[in-house]
Amino acid sequence: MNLPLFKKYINIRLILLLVLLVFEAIHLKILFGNAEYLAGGDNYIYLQLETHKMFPYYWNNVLHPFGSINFAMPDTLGMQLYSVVLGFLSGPLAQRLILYILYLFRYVAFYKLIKYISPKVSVFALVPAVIVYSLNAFSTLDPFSFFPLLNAIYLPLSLYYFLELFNSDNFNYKTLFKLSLLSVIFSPINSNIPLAVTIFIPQLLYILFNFNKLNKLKIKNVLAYYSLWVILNLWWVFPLVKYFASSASTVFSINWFSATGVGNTFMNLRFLGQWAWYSKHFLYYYYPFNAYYDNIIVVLVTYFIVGFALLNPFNKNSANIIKYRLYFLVLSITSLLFVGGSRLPFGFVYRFLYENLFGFKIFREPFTKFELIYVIAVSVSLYIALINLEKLINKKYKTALFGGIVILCLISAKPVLFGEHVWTKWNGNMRTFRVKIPEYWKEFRDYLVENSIKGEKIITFPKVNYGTAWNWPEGFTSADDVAISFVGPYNYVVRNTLTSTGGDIGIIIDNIYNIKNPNQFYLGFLGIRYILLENDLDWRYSGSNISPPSENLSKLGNMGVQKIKDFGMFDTEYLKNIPNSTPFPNDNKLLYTELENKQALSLYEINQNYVNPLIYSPTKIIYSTGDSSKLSEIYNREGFDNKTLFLLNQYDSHKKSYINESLIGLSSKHVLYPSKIDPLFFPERIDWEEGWFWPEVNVFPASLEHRFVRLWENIELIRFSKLEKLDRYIWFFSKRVEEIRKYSNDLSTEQKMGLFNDYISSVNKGFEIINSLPVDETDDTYVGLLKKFIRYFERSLAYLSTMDLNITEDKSINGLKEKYNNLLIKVMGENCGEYCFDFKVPKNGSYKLNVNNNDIGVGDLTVENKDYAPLRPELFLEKIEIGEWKDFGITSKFAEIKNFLSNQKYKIKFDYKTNVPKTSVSIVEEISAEKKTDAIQKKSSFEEDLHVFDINPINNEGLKGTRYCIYLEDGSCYSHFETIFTSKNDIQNAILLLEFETTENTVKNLQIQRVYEPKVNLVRSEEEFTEFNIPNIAYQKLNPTRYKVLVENIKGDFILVFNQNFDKKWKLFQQSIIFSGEETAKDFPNYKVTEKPVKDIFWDMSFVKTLIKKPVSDNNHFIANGFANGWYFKNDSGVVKLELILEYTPQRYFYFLLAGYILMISVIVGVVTVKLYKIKKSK
Amino acid sequence: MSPKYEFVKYILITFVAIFTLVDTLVLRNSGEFVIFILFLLWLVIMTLLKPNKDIFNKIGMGLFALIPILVIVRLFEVAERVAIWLFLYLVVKCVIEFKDYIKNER
Repeated sequence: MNLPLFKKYINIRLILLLVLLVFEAIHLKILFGNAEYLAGGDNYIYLQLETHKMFPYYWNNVLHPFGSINFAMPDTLGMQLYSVVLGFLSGPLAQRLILYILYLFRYVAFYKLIKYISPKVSVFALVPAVIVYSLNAFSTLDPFSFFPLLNAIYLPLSLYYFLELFNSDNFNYKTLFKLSLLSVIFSPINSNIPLAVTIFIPQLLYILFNFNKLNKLKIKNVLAYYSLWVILNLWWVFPLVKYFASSASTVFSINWFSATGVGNTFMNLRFLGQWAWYSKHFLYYYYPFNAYYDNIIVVLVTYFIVGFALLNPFNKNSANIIKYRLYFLVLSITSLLFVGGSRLPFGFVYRFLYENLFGFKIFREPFTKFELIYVIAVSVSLYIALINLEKLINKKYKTALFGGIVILCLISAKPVLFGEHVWTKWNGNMRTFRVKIPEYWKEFRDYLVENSIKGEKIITFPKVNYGTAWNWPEGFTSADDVAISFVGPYNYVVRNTLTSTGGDIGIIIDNIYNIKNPNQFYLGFLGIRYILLENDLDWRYSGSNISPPSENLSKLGNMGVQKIKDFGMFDTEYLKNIPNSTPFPNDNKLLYTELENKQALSLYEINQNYVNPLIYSPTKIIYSTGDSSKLSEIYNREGFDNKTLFLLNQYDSHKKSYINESLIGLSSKHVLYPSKIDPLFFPERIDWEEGWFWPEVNVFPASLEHRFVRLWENIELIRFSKLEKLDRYIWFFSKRVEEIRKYSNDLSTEQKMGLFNDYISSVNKGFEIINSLPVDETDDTYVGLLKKFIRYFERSLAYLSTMDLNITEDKSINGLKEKYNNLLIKVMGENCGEYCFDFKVPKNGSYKLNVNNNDIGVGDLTVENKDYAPLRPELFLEKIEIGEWKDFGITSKFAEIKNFLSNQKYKIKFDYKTNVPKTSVSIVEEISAEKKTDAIQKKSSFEEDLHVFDINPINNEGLKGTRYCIYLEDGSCYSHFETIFTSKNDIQNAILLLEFETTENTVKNLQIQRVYEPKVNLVRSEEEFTEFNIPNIAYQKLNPTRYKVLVENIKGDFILVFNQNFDKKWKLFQQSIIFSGEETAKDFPNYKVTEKPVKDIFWDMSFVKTLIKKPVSDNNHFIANGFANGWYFKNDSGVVKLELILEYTPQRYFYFLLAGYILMISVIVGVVTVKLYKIKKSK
Repeated sequence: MSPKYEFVKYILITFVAIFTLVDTLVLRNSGEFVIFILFLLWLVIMTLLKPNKDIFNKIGMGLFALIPILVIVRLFEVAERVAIWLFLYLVVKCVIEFKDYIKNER
């Protein structure tokens, strides 16, 4: 054997690499088990590996069935590119390869960083450090998520090249090129922006760390890098900025999930602390292996590793390593600070930024975003600490010690090694990540291809929510509809999985599911051609109001749509393979009763005569002020045909003016929904909220200590925010009243009056602040504090009225009452009563008034003077009778509420005595036993049958706090109570229960009313209106951002509707177009429209022609049907033919950038070639 | 406290004083005031002990050793307090080592 040759090629690093290659192959095998794919939740995207398609367009139809700005642009070079490059492999194999490479490169990237810090790499230190970096507790959170895995490679790799760049002693073209290239290769991470930006934290920290060493060269290198980064990433930055500027602000403001203050520092130290770490979902913990990390041995081991790394007990570093050791120590502390988020005691800056800096809200989970920086800092520190240890130990013990340390590291990595972190349990809507795709889905995919079904909108039934489960043989969970992975790249699944991001079309889609009997005309009107019935969707655990298969079948049957193909069958044998571990027997049984002998999937087709083409011309206009949610209502009630254009939301209630006024006169009908004018809130309905506390006082007001209390109060008033000051004043005036109350017997009248004067002063200060602030309906804090001020003031007045202070004639207290009344006027605004509507109409004439679907009559309304018109309250309120009062115990009474209905709003109001111990009111709702099997069952007090009683918690209203004495009667002080509540589902009956804690009835003027939602609308039918002649239209999709449109046989004015989400940047340009020998793909004779075959041309030189052209009819571009694009063409010149290009103009930026990149690369290649040539020549 | 570590005292007192006062007065978390007092106390004890570098290191190790024990006996609130102390300790350590590093560089 040639030993020197063997030694030359086989070194310890190669062996290590081979070991890693084998280890990762085995590790991956363990993770996958017998599954086809690892997928689930947000990681359903792996299923799209079989799509083999990239979407380098700024307008995307795959994310959204009706199109949207492509906010997934960064992923173009991610899963999309991989699906194309790995197209020769099957999807499961491609996923295995991707994950294998991602896992492997995590080690390689870390090794590169270590090699830079310590060129003579120590295997003794490297192996444990690599294990800690790659297989730690933090990595258990995302076993196969694409972006975190990419980040785990990019973070060390980018840091390594950055260090090389910063420390180089020349303008480092080579490293700059590598860093720029990396930024492009890893651009998919930018789909998760908060994660992506974290790579800059270690870099910026390193600049700060070496601030004293900054020189021109270093600044030049760093600036060149960041400039190149920006230029090379502009292609995805642009659509993302547009998305954030338009939609994100809405998303941030609605129920934005946040975990900024979750976790603990002691947990973060050992890579734990995710918000759900100890949380349960339904039956199991999110991370069932969390108990392992609480094992005594594991606790000791994990803290020992981190402690050893950070404290570096054997400090024998060389000068060069000292610098990096210190840098990574600083990095670990900085990252811990970030990970802590808004948590105490250092989180106030984070909290301030989170609440005040727009866009910072993306860092809503600091642990998941920043912990990896801490992990890398600790891992490198561990490496350095182990090098020091290695220097100290005797070679004899080295192997044993190495083995021991590796074992310790492996102990901390056990769940990752054995794949325990891959979810496999049945847990409601959570199902296994080890997925096997059922054959019927593949058959469905093949059917679409075989039958050339392309460019179609397919709606799925039932509705799919974010985080839905499917009853697949092993189970499956997905954030989006699973159908999107099987309809191919050119068909679009109509769904609205996330309400907050759906926009207007989302509302329209959701309405389809909310209608009891949807019809196929309406679906066709939206351009939907197919319906896919997904019987395998687990309706039981996928959100509320998801209808079961039988109901869906009945709905589709009523629609009259034609079934064209079934896929798969749930026979008894097949159902046995479906996990069904629900603990509820009824649910368990339901799976079989609902699914047995039903098809798994069924494809239905809507009558093609009812399906609207993508581009068409309507014949008439309906002008309405109703929003998108009213589209189906107007469409169905008025019985319009599909060639109608609906102009919705046409009234701007802020400006009090109508939109698209030029189209008012052309409309055939005006359907108006007068907007309700609400006050800021109803003062009499303010509840005493859970978080409001009445102060408890423990310091005698005449004592010296009380001076400190007052001093502290003055310090507390040093605040910038007026609202915070107001909150403090509320607290202080309540304290004064409580002090007078508690120490009434011990205080002199003079002392009491002193406190009373302080009370008056604090309340006045509160009024001053309120009066200095403009009414801001959108600021919840402002509105909340106004409510709080009113209720605390009322309560304080009520207490004062019961004390022995002679203040009834006091001028200052009367002054406060006057200010209080003015405040109530401010709160109510110009409100003309409880049922107050803005009746401004677009056109004079007679309008049919309809209230709660009842025609009230016809009346004349004019544009000028009908801003407000109060309606009779009895149209909205129905008096409800109460049965005979019966005693309930000694101090309570109850009575039946007659004709009590489910899911209805009710108003209850009464006056009650305030000088009694307690008065409380409850609505006890009776639910039939079979409807609510899991509720507590007890016998009814007034019927002998077995029923279930449920106290509606919303309706269980204890009259907390004490209100201001509104009026005196027979020496008793009375206050008013009023609230509106909603009854629950499946109610059979209800009783009203009053508890007094006294034998006396303290309630009078009791009234219960059913509150109808004030559905008010006005309809005006025009006798004379414009019926548009529809021209002949032919169109062809060239790519998602470009269409050819040929309009012929134009007779007068016409309207063009493009059935894609409205965006001002969709423009029409006049340009001669040719459909040379193109056959017709689809014909819509009713609309005189033909569709040419869908093309997919990324670039054509003819695209530049529109650059210099002015768009056509751009001023008459409006929102059609509540969501789509519409253009009104005024044909004054009498043209009969128009050749148009419909273009999403932002796509031009992408082309420009691409051209710029090609030019840049050519220049760089040119420069490098010339340099190389010169070097060669000089040699 | 040796002159070598003297400056740390002032930096930390200023830093901790600012954050604690902001936290206590503006954000109303009076519990943090206790940390401030304890921190001052720690600095006083360290001044009295006049620790050398070894003792300083041992304090860190002691703090680190304390956390797993507190976690095992499920005294999480105390463990969190100790972790915050450890964090402050690491900040001190960084400042000391950074000063040394700058000195050596020169």
